[in-house]
Amino acid sequence: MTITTSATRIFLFNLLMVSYLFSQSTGTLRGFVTDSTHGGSVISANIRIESEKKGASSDIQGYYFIPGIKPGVKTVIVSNIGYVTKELQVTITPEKITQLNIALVPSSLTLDEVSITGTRRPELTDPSISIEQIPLEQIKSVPAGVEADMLRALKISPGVTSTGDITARYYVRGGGSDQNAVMVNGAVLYNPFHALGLFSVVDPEMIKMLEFFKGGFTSEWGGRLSSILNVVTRDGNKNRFVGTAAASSMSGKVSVEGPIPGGSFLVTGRKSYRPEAVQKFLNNRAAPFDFYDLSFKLNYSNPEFYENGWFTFHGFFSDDKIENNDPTKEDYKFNNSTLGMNWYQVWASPLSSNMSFTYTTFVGEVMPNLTTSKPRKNVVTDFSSNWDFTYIFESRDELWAGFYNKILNTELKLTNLFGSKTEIDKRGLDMVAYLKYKVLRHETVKIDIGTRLNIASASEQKPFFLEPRFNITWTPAPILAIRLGIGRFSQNLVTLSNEEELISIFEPWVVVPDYLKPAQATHFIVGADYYFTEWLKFSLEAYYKDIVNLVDINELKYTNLDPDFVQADGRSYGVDFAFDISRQNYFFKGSYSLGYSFKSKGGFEFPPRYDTRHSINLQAGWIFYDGWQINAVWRFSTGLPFTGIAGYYDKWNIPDPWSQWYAIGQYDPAFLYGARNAQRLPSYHRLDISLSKSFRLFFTKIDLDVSLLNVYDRHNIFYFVRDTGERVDMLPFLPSASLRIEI
Amino acid sequence: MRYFALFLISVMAFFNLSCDEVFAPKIPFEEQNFVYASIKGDSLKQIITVARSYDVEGFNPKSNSSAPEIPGCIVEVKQAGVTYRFRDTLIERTDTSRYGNKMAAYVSTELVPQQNADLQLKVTLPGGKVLSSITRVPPKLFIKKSVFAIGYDRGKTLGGSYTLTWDAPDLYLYVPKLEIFYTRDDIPGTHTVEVPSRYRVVNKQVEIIYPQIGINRWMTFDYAAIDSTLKKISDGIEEKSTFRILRAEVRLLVYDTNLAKYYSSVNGYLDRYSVRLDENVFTNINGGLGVFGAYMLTKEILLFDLDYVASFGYRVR
Repeated sequence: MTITTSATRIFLFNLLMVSYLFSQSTGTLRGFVTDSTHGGSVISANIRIESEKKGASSDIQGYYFIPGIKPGVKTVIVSNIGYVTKELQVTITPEKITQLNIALVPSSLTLDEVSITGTRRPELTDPSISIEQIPLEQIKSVPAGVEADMLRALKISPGVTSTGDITARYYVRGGGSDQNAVMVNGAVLYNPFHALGLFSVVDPEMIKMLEFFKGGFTSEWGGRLSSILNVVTRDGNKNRFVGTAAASSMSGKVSVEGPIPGGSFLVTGRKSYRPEAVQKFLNNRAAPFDFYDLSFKLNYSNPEFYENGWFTFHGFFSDDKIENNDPTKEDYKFNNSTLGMNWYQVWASPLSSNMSFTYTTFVGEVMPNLTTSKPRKNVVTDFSSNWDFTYIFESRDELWAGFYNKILNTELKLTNLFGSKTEIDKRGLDMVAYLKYKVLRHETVKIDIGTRLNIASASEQKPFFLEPRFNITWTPAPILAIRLGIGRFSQNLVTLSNEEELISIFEPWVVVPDYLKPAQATHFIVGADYYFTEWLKFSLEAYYKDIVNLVDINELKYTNLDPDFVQADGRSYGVDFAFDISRQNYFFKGSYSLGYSFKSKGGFEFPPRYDTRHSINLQAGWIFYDGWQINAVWRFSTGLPFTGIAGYYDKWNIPDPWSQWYAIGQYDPAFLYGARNAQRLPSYHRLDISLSKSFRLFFTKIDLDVSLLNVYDRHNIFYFVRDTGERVDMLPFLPSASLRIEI
Repeated sequence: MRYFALFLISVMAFFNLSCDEVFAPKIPFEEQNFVYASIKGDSLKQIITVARSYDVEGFNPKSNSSAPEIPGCIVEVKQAGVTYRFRDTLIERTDTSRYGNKMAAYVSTELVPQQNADLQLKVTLPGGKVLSSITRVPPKLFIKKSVFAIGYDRGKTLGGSYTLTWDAPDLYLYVPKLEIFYTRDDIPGTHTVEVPSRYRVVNKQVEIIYPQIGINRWMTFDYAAIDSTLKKISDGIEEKSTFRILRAEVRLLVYDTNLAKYYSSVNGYLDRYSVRLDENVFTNINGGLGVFGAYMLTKEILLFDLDYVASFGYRVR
């Protein structure tokens, strides 16, 4: 017994000594990777110390951290697609953190060397699943409808479907459109669409990168069941003042950016001036749209003020109006406003933190004027404060923790068909903490395990307390990554809209009504990425999504005692396959998705209107001569579900009770419908081509773009008018052009 | 080069062929049977219709000229153990634009629905198929008045209103109507005028609001509306004393739950928020579609305050 105890003590002592000596003999390298031309952060740059076989990828701030390096002079290799690889010598000191900030030079500094932005290899080392990082160049490579749009770029991502050309709304792996969050720098945009959903309110000029999580997102993300789209905006040029002006057939826009003492700024603005171009997309050719959006971002970092601290102030404002100037027509108004502040801090220890405050408001209003429509108004105010911490261990493992508070207030003012006014107001607090551990110490296995803790909820009924998340990536060979993701998700803020509506104008956001439970989902995802060569990548993901407690319109509401909403369940499953060929002057990408989506309500299961069985996306781009670039996208999807007409019947309309009673009354023909969504519209396919050219003229850089949409004029059906059998098609062949001038 | 040209021609041909695709929104015809039966609570004559669905060439259902009503059915309604068999007959059609003047219908002149009685409907189609349903006749309601006579409190408050309230245990729809009965010396007979519930100014124009069908268990009549109605009786006539106000009468029609739900589904929800793409018409017919419901009428005479009537220059007795 004594011997055993002594042996244990000696073992522990030795272990401590070894740990001490080991820790004494290593140092740490950290720093920021920036772009040499504008000083903005470079995301996903690969920083390697070959002699140590250690490395890291830069995060969204450009920050990297490599612990456990043996002391001495080391060669650091920094690379990223689109940049010239850089080699640097650095001296690592024991027990010290050495800071090395690196400015990468873009490989396309001259216009003759425009290169295609391709897939980033470092993602093989990340345990995340179903995440896409979409840079601005990729958004611009999609032929523009009226102008480049991030949400249209998403639609060629495997697993993302849409119900038509007319709307930028998207559906991810069988989930509803309100199950997708669109965030700008972490702040939720409650109405991310301009012109009734035709395109996004986010001007591509402000985008640095899109982070698109299609499922299985890790525990720092939540509040939605299907997807998160986080728009990371550009920082603004830290080296010189730049102004751009652009015009398309629909809107004009300007942006200004430049250095300020200790940082940079970026201001972008866009205003519609020619609604006729938008109206081509819509059935209602007379809708007088008017919209603008405005964003700004200020970055400040000054070692004398606060060492290794970065402060960002950002704002986003958008406004949409349909003003008919005719009292016999309804008017509409939608407004987003977001103000935020961010403090990113790298501490002396291997700890970094990110604190943010955002205040967001959304106002949507229907003004009926003299129409029979009823006034409706929806106001959402959201004050969020988030604090995230990341601690990097010497083993390279990471511990993440965060605390999120969201004070939500949703107001909905309605007047029913009988003139009775109702106000549905809800104020509450969402309080969420999360904790996760990333096991990154092994070269071949990376794990991200964590959970969200729903401490308080704005909804009366609480979601489950724990939302565990587990992601693992196994790289048995440097060219292959096999991934698995499992997680639970909840959502207590929903839109009161009918998914069966083709174009839904007014989609108010409300906290889940007191008599309903928040929606909850479980994701199971398994997939693999395979780099056949450095420039050819295959990826495959299979998913199963189980959803309960969806908030759905009660279609059988006949009286005021019936609830407005009922709970529905859903499930979806499918496979997404994609390949990506990215070379210096051309790329070719393709994807195929097989998906099944079902909703069940009242004991009846049916496919929702966005259920798409097969979809194929092909995209190619080629820089063929002197800065000329041609891009093409071909999309195919099987037809969307619809409810067929099984016949007609004469419906009895209860007559004026004081003039004529009995069953005689008036009979009007009505439709007799078949099984819900049991039929399929014809398949959809379309080819879009764009031709662009960048050139310099004196001191300006000019981008010209000509797009041809639906090149072979495919008649893709949008809907049919049941009364007449007339079909209404989506976009016909449509040319458009845009011009951008940068000074 | 030849192969390339062949490829191009093939691609163009594929695209050309695929530009349009025939699409038919109709699916194979589905036959359904419909019953419309609203039992009138204050009448001996009850009418029930039975019909079937139909199909037409194209998409205009008004082109159907074959009457969908089904004759030859056995239609029975049972109340308190007594079965009333409806007579298979032809009645005048109100809308003759599509079909002939007569429509097949089932009529009873014996069934007098009792308050709170359960009614059972059974329709046997010529082929033997049975459609059935049940409903409950609503009761007559006790109407409470805000004051014992209209106009009693008229001078006590500025503006003001006269309110009727009633209690009902179930979900019903209510259609109130207030009328004033009067005589005039120059035109013999009893005359009536309906009283609006209020006036509303919309865009500088006065809009008259009459009581609407609704779920509210009360109805308020603004005195401004009652005053105006009383004044209007003798518009343009100097000698007011030639008018005699006899009485006021409130009639309250009560739709039972089934009729109320049907009405809501056809005419719009009675809810906070309505969104509909495909109409979901209420039905309570087993084996088919349609509605079986009942309504009841409550009538009550209301008194006028004598001084109030006299203030308009009218006679009371």
